[in-house]
This record gives sequence, C-alpha cells and structure tokens, in this order.
Amino acid sequence: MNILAIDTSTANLTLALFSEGKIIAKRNKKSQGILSESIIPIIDGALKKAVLSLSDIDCFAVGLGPGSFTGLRVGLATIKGFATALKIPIIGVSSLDIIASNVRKDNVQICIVLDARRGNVFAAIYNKENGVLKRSGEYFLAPIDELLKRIKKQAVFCGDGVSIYKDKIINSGKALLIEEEKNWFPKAENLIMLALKKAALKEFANNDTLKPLYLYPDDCQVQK
Amino acid sequence: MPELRINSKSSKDTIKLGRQLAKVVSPEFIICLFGDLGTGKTTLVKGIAEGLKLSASKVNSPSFVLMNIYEGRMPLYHFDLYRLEGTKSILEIGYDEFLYGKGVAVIEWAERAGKMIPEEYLKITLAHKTENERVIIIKGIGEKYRGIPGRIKQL
Repeated sequence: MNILAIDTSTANLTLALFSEGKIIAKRNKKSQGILSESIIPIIDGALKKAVLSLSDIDCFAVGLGPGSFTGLRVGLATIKGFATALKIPIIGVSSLDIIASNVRKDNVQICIVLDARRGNVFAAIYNKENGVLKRSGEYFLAPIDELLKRIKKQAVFCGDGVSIYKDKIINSGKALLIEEEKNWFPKAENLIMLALKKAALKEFANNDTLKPLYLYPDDCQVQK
Repeated sequence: MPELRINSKSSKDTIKLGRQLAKVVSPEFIICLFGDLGTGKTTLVKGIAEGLKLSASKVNSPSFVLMNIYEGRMPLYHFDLYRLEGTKSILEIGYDEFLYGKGVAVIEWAERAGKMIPEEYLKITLAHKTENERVIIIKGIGEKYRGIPGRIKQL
C-alpha cells in the first residue's frame, strides 16, 4: 500500500510517503511565505524523489488540526482535490493525536497543549498504557488555567504551548515531564502509523464531508 | 499610560502621520484603528504604505474583501472588520496567522474584534473635530507598545 501523509496544522509542514512497508520520502519544512503556493511543489518534489506519481497513491492521510485555520484549509482542500479527481480514499487524524504519538515514555498520562493565542490553548489528554495511546475526553479550546485544573494526575506535557506556559505548567505541579522541543510538532511518519491502524479498520473518511477540526472560543460576543 | 494626541488639519497631515508610523513598525507589529466612518482610517493606512515604500495607490478600504495584502519591504496586512460578525468569521479569514506573521497588521474597525482583540497592540483612535480636522490619539497597549507613542513624538 502507498500512502501520502501530510499535516499543515502548524507552522511546520510535514509530509511522508510510505510504500511497501517503509517510509521512502520525508519533508519537514518550516512554513515560509504562503502555503497555498508551496504545497503542490513540495508534494511534487517528494513524489519525484520516490519515483511515484499521484495515481500510484492508494490512500491519503491528513492531519485535521486543531491549529492554523489557513494551514488546515489549504492542506485539506489540496488533498481533497487530488482524492476526488483520482478517486483515492482519505484517512483523517487529529493533529493532537499525531503529536501525542511523538511521546516515547510509556504508562503515563500525556497532555498535548498548543498555543491558540490570547491565553487559550488547544488541548487533549491521553493515557498511554503498554504502548497503546487512548484519548480521554474531547479535543478542546480553553484558557491554560482551566486545562491545568482539569488534569488530575501528573502528565507529560508536549506541544508548542509549553514554550509560552512552561512556568504555569511547572508551578501547577501537574508536570511529570516536559517533552523536548523537537517533539512539539506533528511528524508525518507518525501520521502514517496512525493511518495504517485506521486503514486496517477501514476507517476511511467521507471525502465530501470531511472537515478540519476547527475549534472556536465558545463565546462569540462582539462588542458593538 | 503615555499617549500621544495629534491634531490633523487635513488628510495630508494624516498621511504624514502614517509615514512616521512606518518608521517605528517591524514584523509582527499590530495597529488597531478605532473611529467612525470618514475619520481617515484608510488615509492613515495609505501613509503607512507610503512609508514602507509600498504603492499607496493600491491601498483602499477592504470593507468588502475583508483583507488586503500589500507586498514590499515588509508585507502590510490590512484588515477591515466592519462586515464581520463574531469570533468565528474573524478567525476564518486567517486573522491569527497574519497578525503574528511576517509583516505589519493594521486592523480597521477594531472595536468589532471583541474577544479577538490582540493582547498587545498600538491603539489609534480617530475622531472628527471639524469637517476637515481630526483628533488622533495614539496609545500603546501592553509592554511591547508602551514606548511607541514617545518614539513617534520624537520623529
């Protein structure tokens, strides 16, 4: 099975190509300029390196966020365009799940925390037992203080929210460990692993209705 | 809070102030404009564009298109929230990515941002004085912007 995996939810575009049981091409690029102009050349370059064409792809795997609104929209629109034209299935995975699978430590609680600006974070809490990662509760957008209140036992913290709220996290006493910076962003090779599991369970998305995981601050009050 | 109060006698004065503002901006700099219709918000943006050596003739009110991008020495992201209702629609135009991007962001009708107002920004309030004259008040909100009114005054 050939899989093209991509996540554009953060400032780091990550892409991987999987063929015959292994990763055959990888791209990790810090976004410079406009994603809508660079995404196609990046995909094209990786395919050329792997000597594959788009029609050789059996399945797309895409990170659904939450994260950058424009990043998610450009990434998903691009993949949906290819998938629709070539009748290729898509597997969608939350970008927080992809980041959670960067954490190596086993038998721990994991908290993924991404900066959502204005004191808010995108977050999700996971339990990892014997190598199996299970999310407990929803993906949510909340003030950092509220997230810390929700955490009942010490956890491994990971994600770019750590850089801004490190002091708060440490002072709360809820941190078992702060993951190192290289693991704060989604990695497409981990997206491939998650997509293979979903493919085995035939958990393909409906290409027409698949949407990014957009989270909004719950209060939409506008000052007039 | 240090603030700077300027009397603009004409749109020419407002343009000149915009050019001075261009001297104190840097990437990730945010300016929020408050003020009624016809107080010179777009005129001020034209001045900033001139100061950044962008083509000021391309600057027009993005009330309809919601956002314009002018490329130059550093990009200028010109937002207009007049037609936007609510946090959701503001976020969906990619507001956050541009605000904290590689250029200067200017937001017209910032009073409509509600909860989406940035934590730190340069606040500029424009008001009618007479038919042609305007009072323009510049205030720094947050640590990063605190010293900006003083720097503009010295120009």
